Amino acid sequence: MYPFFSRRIFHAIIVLLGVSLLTFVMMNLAPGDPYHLDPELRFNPEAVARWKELRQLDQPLHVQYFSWLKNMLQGDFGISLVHNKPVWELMMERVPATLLLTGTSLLVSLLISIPLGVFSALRKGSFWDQVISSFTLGGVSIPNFWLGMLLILFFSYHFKWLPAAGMRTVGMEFSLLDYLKHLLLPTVVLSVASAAYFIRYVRAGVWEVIQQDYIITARAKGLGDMTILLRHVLRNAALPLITVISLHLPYLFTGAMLTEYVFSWPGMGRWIVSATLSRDYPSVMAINIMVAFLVTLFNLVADLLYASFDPRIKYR
Amino acid sequence: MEKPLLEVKDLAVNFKREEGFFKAVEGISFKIWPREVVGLVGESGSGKTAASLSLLNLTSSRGKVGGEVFFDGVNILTLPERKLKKFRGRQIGVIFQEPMTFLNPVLTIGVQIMEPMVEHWKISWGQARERALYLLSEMGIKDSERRMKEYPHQLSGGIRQRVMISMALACSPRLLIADEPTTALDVTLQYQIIELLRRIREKTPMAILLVSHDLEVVRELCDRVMIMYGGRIVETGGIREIFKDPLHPYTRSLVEVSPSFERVAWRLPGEDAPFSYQSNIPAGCRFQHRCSRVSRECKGAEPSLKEIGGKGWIGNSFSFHRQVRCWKYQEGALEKDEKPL
Ligand SMILES: Nc1ncnc2c1ncn2[C@@H]1O[C@H](COP(=O)(O)OP(=O)(O)O)[C@@H](O)[C@H]1O
Ligand code: SF4
Ligand SMILES: [Mg+2]
Repeated sequence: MYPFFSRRIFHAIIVLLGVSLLTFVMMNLAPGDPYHLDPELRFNPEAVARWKELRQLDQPLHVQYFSWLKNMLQGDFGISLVHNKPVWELMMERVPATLLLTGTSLLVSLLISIPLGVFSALRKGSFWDQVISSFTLGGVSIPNFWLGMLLILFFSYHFKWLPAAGMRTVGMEFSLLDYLKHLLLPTVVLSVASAAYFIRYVRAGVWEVIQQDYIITARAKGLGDMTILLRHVLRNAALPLITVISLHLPYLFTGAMLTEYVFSWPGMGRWIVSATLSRDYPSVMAINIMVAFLVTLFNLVADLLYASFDPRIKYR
Repeated sequence: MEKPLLEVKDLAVNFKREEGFFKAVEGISFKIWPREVVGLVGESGSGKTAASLSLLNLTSSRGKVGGEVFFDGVNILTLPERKLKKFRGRQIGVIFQEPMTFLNPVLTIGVQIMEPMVEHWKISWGQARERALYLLSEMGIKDSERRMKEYPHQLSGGIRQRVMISMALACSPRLLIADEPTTALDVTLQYQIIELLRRIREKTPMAILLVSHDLEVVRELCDRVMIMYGGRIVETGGIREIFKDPLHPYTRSLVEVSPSFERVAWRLPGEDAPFSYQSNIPAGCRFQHRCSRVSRECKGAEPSLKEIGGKGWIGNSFSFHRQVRCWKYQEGALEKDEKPL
């Protein structure tokens, strides 16, 4: 177990370094600069030079990268070029909101896709299976932001049932209902695609499992249908699903960014867009590292879950 | 007179396939009396598994079962699934050919042995555990406490098959269907499992339907044997008669090359597996392409399963015990001197 962990952590470090290097290079290759939006700096080369010097942006690129790396390892992600605040603070304000949205969406999409996928597999080829299949096809093809705007148009603008933006009503006291109301639309938008995607895998997985010989054994023992489903089918079908979920997480994060943008959700989504547009280098670096870190972390969790479901797997 | 424990009438299994349907089993009728051990023999692909699984309506959704199966007088194939479940595992236990694929890889063998008892007897897992431990040690498994916590992949083939047998015997069924219980094992293990089955046979009042492609295994254990070819029963009889005096040309070739059945397929002309497509099944006798005694009438119509000789005792019942499906015997048993071969 421990060698497995140290190997995985070693891999994670390599990945994170790679991500940071790639982000750094791409950002510096991309045209544009952090100060072209600032009217005071824009036409004043001397001011720009001073501005750059102050932030050590005048140094050669490799020096910049290594000093960023050194600071990062000490927990210092630098100061945002736009907000003039430590990036770490900006991060801590936004990561929880993103995690809340992605976590809820993951949960909701699993709660939808597992029963529907199981049903589809057990009734393969039936009318309802075909209905579900066409919905999943629709679900994976609908663009996130389009669905988001459509929902806002109907539920917020037209019917005025649900808020269109933010995480809670400004100026209102904390209330769970208010939170849930704000959470509802973005969660729906984000869950549709994931649920559609998961349904296909649950269906395929369950279908595969119910063909197996050990299911005949379970039936030959006279077990009840529910027992067979829960004890014999789902435990086996969970294995590929865990892998699918962990592979899907990066897409979920990307989707969350877009959805947050549409719903003005105070997470990393708006920030990453604005930071990229304004060439806020430290913020972009930090966000990319953070997302990469979260994805690696969840993959590790998925591996552990896998091992706990499948006795044949022993991590060494 | 004692009633048969199992009475099968005109059993048929029809698989739906992409290219159409395939009747893997057709017109099979037989009886098994309490405490009787009956062999069902045929080369692989002859429909043995389809026939034995269909007794409990366990063929996949693609396999449609026809005919009647009376267990203790109840026609179980007409029962709703909910009631049929009460026969599966409780009245009739099943052992499968390949213990590796027929055991659930993610459940401990303890759970897999205990679950039918918990299901049918509504006892607690703790109580079921005691009996599971007892069963495992009866099967000659030492260290049963530890084994209970292990998973199928951690066990050797022989132990896996013993686990399979404990599972089938968990609720003390009155009939055991053993589908090739020794085929997946190597020779020494085969012998041990045969010994084990023999011991079980002596200790319990259970009847056994032993399915095998190995006539020698059947000879070791059975009172009576039914020979299958291409989805049909072609000959039945007491085990000693079958070996001493095989009637059907197929049985004769089997007995000649016994013990190993698979070799027959090599020695006889024609295809390896009897038939795997409906369109391959010829009009007339199904054995005609491989038969050394084939004549014109064999290609016309299919011979029926004809009762031969007099009545005798089967279990506790007095009835015909020798049947053969061949045109050469349609007018009753041939005289000794008329019999070629
Ligand atoms: N699920 C199935 N679908 C279609 N054909 C099947 C299926 N199961 C078995 N068969 C066919 O039925 C025939 C008999 O198979 P089986 O009963 O397994 O033979 P045996 O047990 O004697 O080796 C074979 O030709 C096989 O191809
Ligand atoms: S009926 Fe004819 S072909 Fe068939 S087994 Fe008898 S002799 Fe051979
Ligand atoms: Mg078979």
